[in-house]
Amino acid sequence: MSLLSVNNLHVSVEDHEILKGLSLDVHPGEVHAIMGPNGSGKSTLASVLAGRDDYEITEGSVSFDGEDLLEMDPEERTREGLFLAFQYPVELPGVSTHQFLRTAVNSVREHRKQEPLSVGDFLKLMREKAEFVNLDPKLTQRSVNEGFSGGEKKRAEIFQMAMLDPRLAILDETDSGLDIDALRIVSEGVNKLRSQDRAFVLITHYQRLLNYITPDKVHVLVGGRIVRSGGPELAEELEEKGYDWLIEESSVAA
Amino acid sequence: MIDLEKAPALLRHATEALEGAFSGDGAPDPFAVRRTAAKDAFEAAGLPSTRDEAWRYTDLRPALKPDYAPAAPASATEADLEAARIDGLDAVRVVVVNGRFDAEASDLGGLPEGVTVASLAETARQSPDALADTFGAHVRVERDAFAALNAALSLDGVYVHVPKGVALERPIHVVNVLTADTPTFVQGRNLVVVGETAEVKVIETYVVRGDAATFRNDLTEIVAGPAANVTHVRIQDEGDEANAVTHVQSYQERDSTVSTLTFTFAAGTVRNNSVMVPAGEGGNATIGGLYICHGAEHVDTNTLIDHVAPGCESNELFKGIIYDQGTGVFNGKVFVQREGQQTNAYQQSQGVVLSPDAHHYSKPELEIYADDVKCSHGSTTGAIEPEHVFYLRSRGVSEADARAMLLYAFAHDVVEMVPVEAVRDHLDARIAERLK
Amino acid sequence: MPTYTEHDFFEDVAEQGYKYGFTTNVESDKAPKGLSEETVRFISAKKEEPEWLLEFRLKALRHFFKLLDEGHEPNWAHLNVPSIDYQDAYYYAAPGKKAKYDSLDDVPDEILADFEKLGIPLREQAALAGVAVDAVMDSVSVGTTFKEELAKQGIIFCSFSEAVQNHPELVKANMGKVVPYTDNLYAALNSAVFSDGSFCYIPKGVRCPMELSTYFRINEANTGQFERTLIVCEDGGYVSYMEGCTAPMREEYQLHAAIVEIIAHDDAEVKYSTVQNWYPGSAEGAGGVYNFVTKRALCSGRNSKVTWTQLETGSAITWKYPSCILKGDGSVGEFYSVAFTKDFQQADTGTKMIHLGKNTRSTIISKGISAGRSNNSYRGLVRVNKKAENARNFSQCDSLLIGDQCGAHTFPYIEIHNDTAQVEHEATTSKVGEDQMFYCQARGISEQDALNLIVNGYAKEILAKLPMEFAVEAQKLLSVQLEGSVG
Repeated sequence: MSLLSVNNLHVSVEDHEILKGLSLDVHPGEVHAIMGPNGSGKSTLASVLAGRDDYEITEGSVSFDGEDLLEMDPEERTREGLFLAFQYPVELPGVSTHQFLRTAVNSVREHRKQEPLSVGDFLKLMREKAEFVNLDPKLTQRSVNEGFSGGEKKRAEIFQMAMLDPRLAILDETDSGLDIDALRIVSEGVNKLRSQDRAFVLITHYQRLLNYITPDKVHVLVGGRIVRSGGPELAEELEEKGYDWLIEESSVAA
Repeated sequence: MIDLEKAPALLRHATEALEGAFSGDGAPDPFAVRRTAAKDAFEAAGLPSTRDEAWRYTDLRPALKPDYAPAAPASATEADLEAARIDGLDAVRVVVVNGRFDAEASDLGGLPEGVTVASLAETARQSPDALADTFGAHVRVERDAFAALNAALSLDGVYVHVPKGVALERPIHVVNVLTADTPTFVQGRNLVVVGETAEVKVIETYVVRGDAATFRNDLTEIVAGPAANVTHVRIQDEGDEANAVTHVQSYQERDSTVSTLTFTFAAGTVRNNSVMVPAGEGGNATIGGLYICHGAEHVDTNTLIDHVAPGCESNELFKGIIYDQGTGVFNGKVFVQREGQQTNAYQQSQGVVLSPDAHHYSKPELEIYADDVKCSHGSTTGAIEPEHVFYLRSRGVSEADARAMLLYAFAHDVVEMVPVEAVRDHLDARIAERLK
Repeated sequence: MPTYTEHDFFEDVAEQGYKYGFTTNVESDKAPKGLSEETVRFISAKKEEPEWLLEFRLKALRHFFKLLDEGHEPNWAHLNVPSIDYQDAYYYAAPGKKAKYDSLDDVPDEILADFEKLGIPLREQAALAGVAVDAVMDSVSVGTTFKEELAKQGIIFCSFSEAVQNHPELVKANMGKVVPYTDNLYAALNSAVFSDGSFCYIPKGVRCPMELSTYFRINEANTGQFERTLIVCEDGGYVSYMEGCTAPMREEYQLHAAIVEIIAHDDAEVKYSTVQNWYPGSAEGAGGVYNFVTKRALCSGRNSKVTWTQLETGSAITWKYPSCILKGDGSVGEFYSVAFTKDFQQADTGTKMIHLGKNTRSTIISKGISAGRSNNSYRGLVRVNKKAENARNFSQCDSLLIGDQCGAHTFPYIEIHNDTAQVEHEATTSKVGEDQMFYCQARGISEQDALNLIVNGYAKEILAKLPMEFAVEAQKLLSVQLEGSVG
């Protein structure tokens, strides 16, 4: 059974239709890459899946592990095991990373009918995961994302993902603005977190992320629709030819 | 209530005037109805004192002391016009003498079709309907004794109407002349009505002929239609004996832009009140000013930006340079009502205090009842940064020049807000003279 | 290893509400109802006061009536104060019918038990480590902990009434010197009928080894509380003083008009912290404490320093401006405030920094948070007088709005009479960021918890300045107040 099933999704922002019938099926353990040019609707997809409320869903459905995802509040989705790594992680001045994540982790644990972690166990978990994704532990002692560099923010997102242990992680342009070293560290984190039970949706403009994370499937999103799906070789083809030929093809088809 | 026995001469004369001296020139008084109500409002409001929160830093008593008499009819002289000249300014010239429109001295040639620049009283007599929706429509005289006094006593003034779609490129230069061989008071009144997408720039300057004390109680109303663009600039530069309480009231429909800027170089005691109401969505209200106070000059700026509509923006920038025994006061309020969601309001007041006997008071206020807003204010008061002076001196500039240079830079920000080059040049020159 | 988790914290918070709303059932000895010379004489006699103090009270009473007759109720604040019938209240109530307690053994068990319930155990063996507490209920101090231990270093920490008896010369020399009874209507009222409060004296060169704290409790119905606190810190002394307060839930308002005076001599430092949690009234706006407080510090000595830190969450109406008169050259005043209002609460609070001496410095950081239908105003004065060479002030006043039915206002007054001053004021008003809320929710955190995190983060800079013993309590209190404020 699909973990995530997006069916003919139509989404508008202020009467302007951005997603125009998008369908996607992700099974446990799979890594999907969604690629597309600017303005194709990539980030809209990520935001709608995570439950941001500036979007109007005019048609279609999304189910997560058989449940109607669109009916859930953002925190419910996360507690059910969906995780969004933000393209632009938000700064929370004065809110310690420690306090923030403990609230988050224990909220998720409570939902899973697990005992909340004690301070000691939580600190242990935090140390472990920071080490696991190669995050400077000093960052966990500061306010959430406050004063972090672009690369630090992205790495902190991967760290948060490791802490929350999701079933499906959506990475929204996590590679954008990263230098090659940071990109490698972020990718390593993702690769370490790959498992049979966990699926990933990587949203990206560039093929270079896929040099580090080999996807099972690649989809090309143009004009709010997936116009082509294939294996990793599709990404290479895009790298070579760019998006233009697909844009032309899709406009002919439309 | 005002006790006339003890009241200043100005009020005594005002009351006498109210008892019926209006139709002196034989013409019917077009404002007769309004006057009675305004008189009642004036008497009910009473004269403000420093016990009133809005007047706590300005004591008007010395300014009201001279034995003022109402300004009598007069005509402008060549010397008046020369004194009011702004080099390089190509403008429609309107002359007002002692509160009365002076058609002969005015030069209204070249106005685009449909644009009216005329005597307010004459317009009220000829076509009262034209003023029905705008004249006095937005001023709350019951709240403000001086606005009420103006409504009760003003005889005439300038009426500007720019119809829909017309962009008046040449600015309108209003020259306000006051003759003062003996202490004189006058109530100036202007109404600027700008239609949809129309544009106008009004520059007001002031000339006093004579050495006696003067007291000006002016009221300018601006009504901006949808997407209209209005700039109003005043240059108060009449001399140490010139006292004034002024009121600018602007009312803006959706998407309009109104900017009102006041420069005060030489005055006695001046209180400038401004109320801006961006009343339609998407409005932009800008208010700014510069006051350079010397001698015993006292300049009090009181502003209210009343955000009654959603999605409007306001910008406020006032700067003061105070030396000798001068006093500068800034009291600005940004008021965001429940309906004013998505308001962006920015307010900034800066004062430089240059001598040990100078005073600066700053009271920037935010009063906010809508939650989805971005409002901020900043206020700084201090001397010139010694470090900056030192830096310039280490580059060979004399200390005096360094200070003047830094002060000029400080003041120039506000000048930059004026959209007419000749006026900017004039202001820059005046600032440079003042700061010598 | 502490096992108290964030989760417990939030659960505590969710369950709490105003948990201080109970009443203590002890009989009281009350003054006759109403305000008169008779009332004042009654209070003074109960406290066995010397003649000079009775005279002081009577002068203050006459001044109060004069101000009242002439209509000098302060009306400049952004507050809607219902008219107060000063004759319809009691001005003195002694729980357990005693005007003073010589030892805890005399205090009725009910009172001790209820203070314990409030988290203030008074018996020495159970007392909070590192904090000396003076506990005041209505008009009487019921006990002061660690008194003897402090006395060994020459520190006097006792109830105000006790100080009048045992240290009259110190009281007489300092009382009313910072806040004269003529200062304002409420100060005049307090000076006439003040009941108890704390007195604290730090001798020359002594650093007070523990936090000093007074806990104020209004218990009796229809009774005002009028406490008076006086702190004198001699040359080179240091003290950190903390005040807390609560009241039962009652449908009628209760009046609280206090005076706090601080005098800091050369190189002395006083930190005064307040967690104000008077009953705020019901969610519909009924009852609650009217809190009219005059707090002022005189930094009389060179390089003296006074810091006011406050968390204001309670009271139906708050009118309060802890101030510093920076008289000594090089003296420093600081004001750090978090004021939270919700439901129908109204707060008009801020500070005055009066720069008189040379090289004086002041810092003001104020964070207002308004929710519900409340109104929350910052009002602050920075005045640099003519002779205050090289004065410096920095003020930052931020307001946060939660919901679209509340108001957040900023009214600074900046008065500069010296050309060497540098005064900077900044203020912002905004709402809790939608993107911040969403980010938290996307990490599985509920809306309420997210609001808690963000608001506590916003206030953290200030709460961190509270003494450690109270910082967590303060954070919790703020979260309790935030309950139900999600827009």
